[in-house]
Amino acid sequence: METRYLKWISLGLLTTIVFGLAQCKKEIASTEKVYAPSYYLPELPQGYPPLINSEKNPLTKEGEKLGAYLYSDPILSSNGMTCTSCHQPALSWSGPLYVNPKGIKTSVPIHLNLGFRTVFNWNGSAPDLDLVAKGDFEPEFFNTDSNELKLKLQASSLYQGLFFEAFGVKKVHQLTFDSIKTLASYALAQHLRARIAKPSTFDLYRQRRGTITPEIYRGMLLFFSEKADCFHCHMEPMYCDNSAHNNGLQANHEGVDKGLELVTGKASDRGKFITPTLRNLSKTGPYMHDGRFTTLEEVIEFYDSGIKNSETLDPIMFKRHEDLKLNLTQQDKADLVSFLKSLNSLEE
Amino acid sequence: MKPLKSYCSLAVLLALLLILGCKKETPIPSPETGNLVLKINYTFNNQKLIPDSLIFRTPTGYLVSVSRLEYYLSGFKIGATNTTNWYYLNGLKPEGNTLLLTDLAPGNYQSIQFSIGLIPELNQHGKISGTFENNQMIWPTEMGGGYHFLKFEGRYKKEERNPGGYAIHLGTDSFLIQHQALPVQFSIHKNQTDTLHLTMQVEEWLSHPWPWDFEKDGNYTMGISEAMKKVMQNGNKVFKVD
Repeated sequence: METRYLKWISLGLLTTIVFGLAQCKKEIASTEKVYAPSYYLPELPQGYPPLINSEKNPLTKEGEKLGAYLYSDPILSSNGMTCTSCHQPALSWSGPLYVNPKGIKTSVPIHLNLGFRTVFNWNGSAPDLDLVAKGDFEPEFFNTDSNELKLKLQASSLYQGLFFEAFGVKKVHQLTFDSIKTLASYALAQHLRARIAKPSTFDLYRQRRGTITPEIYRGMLLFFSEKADCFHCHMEPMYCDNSAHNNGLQANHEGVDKGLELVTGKASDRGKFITPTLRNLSKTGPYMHDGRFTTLEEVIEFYDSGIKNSETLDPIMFKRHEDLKLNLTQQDKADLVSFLKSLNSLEE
Repeated sequence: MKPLKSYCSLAVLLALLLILGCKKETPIPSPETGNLVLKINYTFNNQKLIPDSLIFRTPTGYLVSVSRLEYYLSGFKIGATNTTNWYYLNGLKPEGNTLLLTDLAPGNYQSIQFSIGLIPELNQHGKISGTFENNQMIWPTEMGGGYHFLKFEGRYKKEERNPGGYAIHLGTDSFLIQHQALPVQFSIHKNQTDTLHLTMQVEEWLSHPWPWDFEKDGNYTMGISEAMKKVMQNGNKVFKVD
């Protein structure tokens, strides 16, 4: 009797297990390649804000890997250009002054710590990192021919595999051109989200793991003081503020110099540009949206004595003498440059 | 018998593991408390505050605009309940209008009190979450540490003179504003969210008891104890209950 009951009990329990396993929908091992992206978040340096991940394009190992390939591969362009043509690794993913076909000059924005930003491009025209790179397919940059791109992708087993692993798309070349651009842009955005600045001399000093020179120390005191007052827009650890300001480059603003006003249509945004990070600054010249300053010394000279008043000049720029001057000494200026250089990553 | 018993035991164990593994999280029972939403309006001389508009008149005769109004509220006292919650608010953005106080004891109350800024136990780097907004509010270590309690900025103009800019910033423990208690009768109901409407009368920052004259009192305050003391006192009555 006992044995018979135990048999039935065992059978019942095993049925429960089999049924339960089916309910839990465990994946059955298969020899076929499975789309199974590995979602992850990179480890962040001490004091960093949370990374802004994307709901529609969450960071995965596979997406980041595809982005890394695309970033430096001319496959996306019809003219041999890559992202690294302008955003050069040796220049901290910034580059020399860019002049467009109309002669408009632009300082190439640094591609570092972008995963913490909410607004992109100098005038804030791009609110979505996931889609920023779609603009690169235009004639001004990659000049991408859609048929040529599809043929290149079709012929590439590497990219067929990478696109599948990243987005589950088996035949990427069969997508529409717009869809391909979107996925490429997504992958590039993931790669950029994962690109986080390595520690600098000043980071190590802040973490009590390193020392700084007396020049850097004096520069630090000025940077974080009302005298030079750099910190209100460039607060550590990001050294930028996700906001746009008119920092007094000129009294009148025409054309691209209208900045954020061209995006919002508001006169109160005239002459405002997004605050850039100061990390790796000495590698990312020329400076300001139009690259008008070549050296850090010129930049500091401008903030010391070159501010121009206008209706939208940031109130912070008035926190000084009536003539809008800081009255820094030569020593002050040299110390500030030393401090700014201490924000460079010690390794790339 | 023995092998059959072993199989049976193994089956029981597997079934239990399966059941536990598939079990959904047990919902936490609702606490016997209620919530309070504070909705904050921003006015200047009883007019709705319009950002970046040089149209608001101060008691000292200046026209001013407001281009930044960021601050913290903390140290809420509701009846006998003291909270350690803190709130970052941006008065020029829609999300700067509302905050939620949770886990309050149900009952009838006659007043609400809070501090503008961060109470001392919170006013240290790393004591509040390191969001981008909070990092932007850091008061540099080199100037005393902690966080800005208030960033109030804009432009000012008097008569035909060229407009200037002002940056009224407040920080460090000595200048925490313990706002006067706001008398108001309200109730907190169990498992419900009640609402109170407050107004920040922005002109008060520049009015009482110290009518602010930018040309005499200065156009910035950070690190200037005398100026921050005046701002602290002016901030004591900036809120009212609607």
